[in-house]
This record gives sequence, structure tokens and C-alpha cells, in this order.
Amino acid sequence: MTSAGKMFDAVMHLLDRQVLDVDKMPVTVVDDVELSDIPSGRIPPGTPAPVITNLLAGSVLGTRMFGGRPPSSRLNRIRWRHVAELGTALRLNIRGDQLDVLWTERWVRNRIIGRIPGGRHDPE
Amino acid sequence: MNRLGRSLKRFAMLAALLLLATGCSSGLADPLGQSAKEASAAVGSAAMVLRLETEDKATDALSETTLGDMVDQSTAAYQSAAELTPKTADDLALQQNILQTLDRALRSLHSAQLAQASGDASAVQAVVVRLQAQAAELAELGKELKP
Amino acid sequence: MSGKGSGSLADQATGKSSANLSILGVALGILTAIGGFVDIGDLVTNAVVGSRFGLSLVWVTVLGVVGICIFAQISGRVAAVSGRATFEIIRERLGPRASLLNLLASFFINLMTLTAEVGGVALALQLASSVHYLAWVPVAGFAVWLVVWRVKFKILENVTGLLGLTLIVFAVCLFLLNPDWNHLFNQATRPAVPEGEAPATYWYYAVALFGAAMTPYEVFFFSSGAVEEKWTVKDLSQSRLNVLVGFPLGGFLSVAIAACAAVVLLPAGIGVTSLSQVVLPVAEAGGKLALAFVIVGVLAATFGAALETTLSSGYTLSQFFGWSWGKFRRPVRAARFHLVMILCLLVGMGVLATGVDPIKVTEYSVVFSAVALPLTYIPILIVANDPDYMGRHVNGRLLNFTALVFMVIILLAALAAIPLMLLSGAGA
Repeated sequence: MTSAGKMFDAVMHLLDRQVLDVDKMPVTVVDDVELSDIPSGRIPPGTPAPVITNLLAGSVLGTRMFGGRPPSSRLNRIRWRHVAELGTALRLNIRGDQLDVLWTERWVRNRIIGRIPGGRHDPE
Repeated sequence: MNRLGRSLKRFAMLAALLLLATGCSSGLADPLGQSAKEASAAVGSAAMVLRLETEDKATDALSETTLGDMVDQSTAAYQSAAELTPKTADDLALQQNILQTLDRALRSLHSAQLAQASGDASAVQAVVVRLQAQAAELAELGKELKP
Repeated sequence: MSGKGSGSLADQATGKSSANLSILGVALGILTAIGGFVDIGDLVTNAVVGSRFGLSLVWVTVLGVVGICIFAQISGRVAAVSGRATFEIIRERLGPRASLLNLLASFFINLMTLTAEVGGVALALQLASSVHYLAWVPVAGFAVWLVVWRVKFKILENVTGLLGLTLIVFAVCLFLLNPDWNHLFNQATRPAVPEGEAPATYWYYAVALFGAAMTPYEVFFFSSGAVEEKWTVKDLSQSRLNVLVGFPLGGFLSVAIAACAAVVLLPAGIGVTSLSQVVLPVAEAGGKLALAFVIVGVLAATFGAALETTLSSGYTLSQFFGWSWGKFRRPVRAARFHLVMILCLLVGMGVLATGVDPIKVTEYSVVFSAVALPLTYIPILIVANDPDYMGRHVNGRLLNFTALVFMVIILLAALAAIPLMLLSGAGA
């Protein structure tokens, strides 16, 4: 599961970790992960082990806590290939601005915070 | 305050203490004592801040604020005493007595506010004396009722 | 209550992340820690306790100061070493369910403290102006927002901390009052429940005083402030010094507040119920000049704490959800963080507008803080021992032992708080 061959535990080292983008801007916390399809029924020998395809964030947190599954179309995904580094936080190799996960941040910024005088300036 | 008022007060005080002797075990003694203690603290604070003002140690704003706070606190003490429902005649008499004492304290606090606002030094001094006496009276009542 | 980012002035003096500590920088860091230690909770609780129990509860203040020194130091180190603030760590360690419960409790109590602090600012302005505090609430709330919105972290912290230092006037006044020192010393060293007070009330205020000294928002603020100011391991010696010298001196201020009340108000049978009574002993001892100092001090202390709790409300929520946060970013770069703070201020102002007594809010907020203490301190202690985060900077054995002893005290206080509140009729 890791390129460097070091063991890591998805629950321990991945879930609920902070995700930072390439500029160290916080993006989200890893609310859940999505795995590649696991065949149902008996698993024939030699089948490749499932791999993490996406990090999930947003409403999926509710279902992780209370059970159930949100429709796949409603999931906010971050592709696993965009993960650059695992540490006390996860670093992405892209900017967070384009990600769907940040739509609430963009909404609040454009509709509210950006419209208040001084919101776009550095503090003094 | 005139002499008649003072002797009336002394009489009320005596009556209250007599009632205490009979009504100490009643259910109302505790909460009424609490009200008396709270009012005593309020009246005492008012007396203190006015004394400080006459000694030029307190600002107008501090006296005004303190007096306002203390009126609020005494009103609250009065209300909680008034809301109690006495079950016996003794309790009723005790409650009436405390309420009258609290009422007098409130009136003194109001006249303290007036005297403070008018800036009349002699009026302030007179009211300080009255407040100090009432604070002591209420404190004693409180201690008797709620040791 | 702060002292948090007090490494800051030192940074300015010595250059960022320099290990050389200039004397000026150290002094300023410590001074802000002292001035920032006291907030409305300490002011009110210490004055109430002094006016009713004399100095018989000083041991609790001492205990609380030792506790906050230990845990503030640990959380500062965790933040500096791992670069992660408290609530990020709570979420990582406790998982979503337990940490959400933790978040709800901590957030609610922080909101209550925020309300109390804004109310304290308004009450202090009333003391200065005699205009009713309810008229000051919107002014206070707006001013807090404006500073959070526009002023740099270092400036807001250092200015309120240094101005809060004027509360030293309580200590000066204690000397001017010329009290019977032997008597005070006996009260402090041979604690006993005073005549006319129930033991349950005594212990209720013991818990309240402990909660006031160890308020959890300090830890959120301290650790987030360390991230805001980009502390590194090199800044740790400065922060340790600020905490270990500044907080005990802040605790000394708390004791002075209690002692003033014990000398002037206790003999007069005046139990404190309002902020105006808290400052009466100062006017008695030092007249109008001392009064002016104390009002500035109260204003700075409550305003500083209002800023800290407002920021803490944004910190906790943003860190739980992984949102962008921090004052080092422009507001548009941390939009949800700023929105949370605006909403919390509005809620606090709304609560005050109902006419609820800010002093009562304060009293309840310190007791509920005591209830919530383990929620904050247990995860920090766990992480401070985790080499994944801390590398070779994990807690040493002696520190762990003391921290564990404190954890027992914290748990006892948390468990006892609500029963004592019911037993004593909330200290009536």
C-alpha cells in the first residue's frame, strides 16, 4: 500500500487527518476513503487487493458516524493520485481552489466575507 | 429620617425577632433569610460607594452604576421573598415583616439615587447613615433566619 | 487569559525563530502572559470567593495555576513540534463520533465564555461612563469583530496583555489597605469553611475557581496561537519561560483580587454579585486614580479574553472540519472561519440582549468549564506521548507523572461540578 514499503494503517494514519493543498492551505479532513470495487461473493485467488481510489469529505461524515451510504453522485472526492505526501497531515500536489470539496468555502467567500470591507486585505 | 420612622423601625425589628423565636423551624425562614442577606449586601454596597464618593474616592459613574446594580439586586431579593407561599400564620407574619423591611431598604436606595444625582452632599451623608443602619438590620435578620 | 503567543514580541526583538532571547523580549513576553492571565471569570470568581470565603480557597488558585502551567506548556509544545493545533488532534485521536461530542461541549462552553467576556466589556464600559451596559453590548461586540477582522494577531495579543497589566493595581491596593497580614496568612494556610457558609457551597466555589484558572479556551487559543505565529521547536524555551513565570504571576493577581475583597467586603457582609462591587475595594484603597487603572485593566482583560474566545470558536470548528483558518490569512482565505466568528459574536450579543445578568453567565461558564476540562486535556496528554507527532519531544517521565496526577484532580472536579451545583443551589 505504500511506495516506500513502510506499513501504515488507513484508520490510524489516514482517516480524520487534515488535508493540505500544494500551498499548505487547509482543504478538509479525510472524512472517509473510497476503495476500488471489491467483487462480491467468493473472492477467487489471485484477485488484486482493493486499493484506495479517492479521499472523501463532506456529508459522508454523517453516514460514517451514523451508518448508511450517501448516493455516489453526492460524494465530494479527492483523487488518490493527487496525494503527494503522508505525514501528520496529507499534502496534495494540486491547488485546493478547484476542488469540489471547497464549494462551501467559495460560497461563503464570494457571497459574504468577500463583500465585507477589508475582507480582501491583510490584517494590519 | 425622622424619629418616628426610627422608632417604628425598631419596633418592626423587635417584632421580627419575636417572630423568629416562634417561626424559626418554619420552611420560609431559610429563603427569607437569604433574601435579607442579599438585600443587606446590596444596601451595604450602596452605603459604601456613597461614603467613598463623599470622601472623593469614587467617581460619579461608579456610584451611579453601583446604586443601579444594588437597586436591581434588592428588587430581585424582594421578588423572591414575595413569591414564597406561607403555609402558617406565623410564616405569613414573618414574610410580611421581611417584605416591609425590604421595601424600606428599596425606598432608601431610591432616595440614595436621588441624593447622588442631585449632588447634595448633606443629603448624601444622611442617606449613607440610613443605609448603613438598614444594612446592619438586614444582616442581623438574615443571620437569625439563616444561620 | 493568555500568554499564548507571547513569544511574539520576543520574535520582533530577536528576529523570527532565533534562539537568542533578548532581555527585553523575555520581559515583554512574560508581562503579556501576566496581563493576559486574568479574564472576567477570574475577576468575578476571585472577588466572589474573597468576599465570602476570605482567602480560604487560595489553595485552589495555586493548584489551578500549576495545572495550567503544565498543560499550556504541553499544548504549546505539541503545536510547535507537530504544527497541529488542539482540535485537529482531538479529531484525529478520538475519531468522528467522540470528537463531535467533544466539539459540541467545548464549543458551547466557549460560546458561553464569549458571551460572558463581551458582557464584561460592556459592564466595564458602564463603570467608566454610567451608560447602561446593554447600550454598550453592540459597541463591544462590533469592536471585538473589527479587531478580529483587521488587526494582526501579535498586536491584538500584546496590546490587551500589556494593558491588562494595570490590574496590578489590585496588589498595590492590598498594600494600601494595610490589612492584618497574619490574619490573611492564617486564612490562606489553614483553610476552613467560614461560619454561615455550607460545605457544599465552599466546594462548589472551589470547583468554579479551578475552572476559572484552567479555562479550556486558553488551550485552544494557546495551541492555535502557536500555529498562527509559526512557532518552531526553537521558540519553545521562550514559551516555556512565559508560561512558567507569567502564569504564576497572573495567579498572584487573582489572589490579590480575592484578598482585596476579603479585606474590604467580607467584614461588611457584602457578597459580590456585580462588577461594580469588585472594584469597590480598589476605590476604597486608592481613590479615583486607582479606580481609573482598575477600569482600564478590567476593560483590557475582558476585551482580550473576548478576542481569544471569539478566535477559539473559529479555531475549534474549523479545525474539526479541516477548514482553512487563522488570522495570518486574509479573511477571504479563511472565509468559513470568519463567518463562524461573526455568527458566534451575534449569538453572544443576542443572549446578552435578553437582559440575562452577565455575572451569572460568567459564574456558570466557569463551572461548566470545569466540567469540560477532561475533554480538552486528556487528548493533549495522549498526543504529547505519541512519537508519531512528537518525535523525540514526547513528554518526559516526571512531566507525565505530574500531568497524570493533575488528570485525576481534573476528573474529580469535572465529576463533582454538577452535583455540587445542585447541592449548593449554584452557590446561593
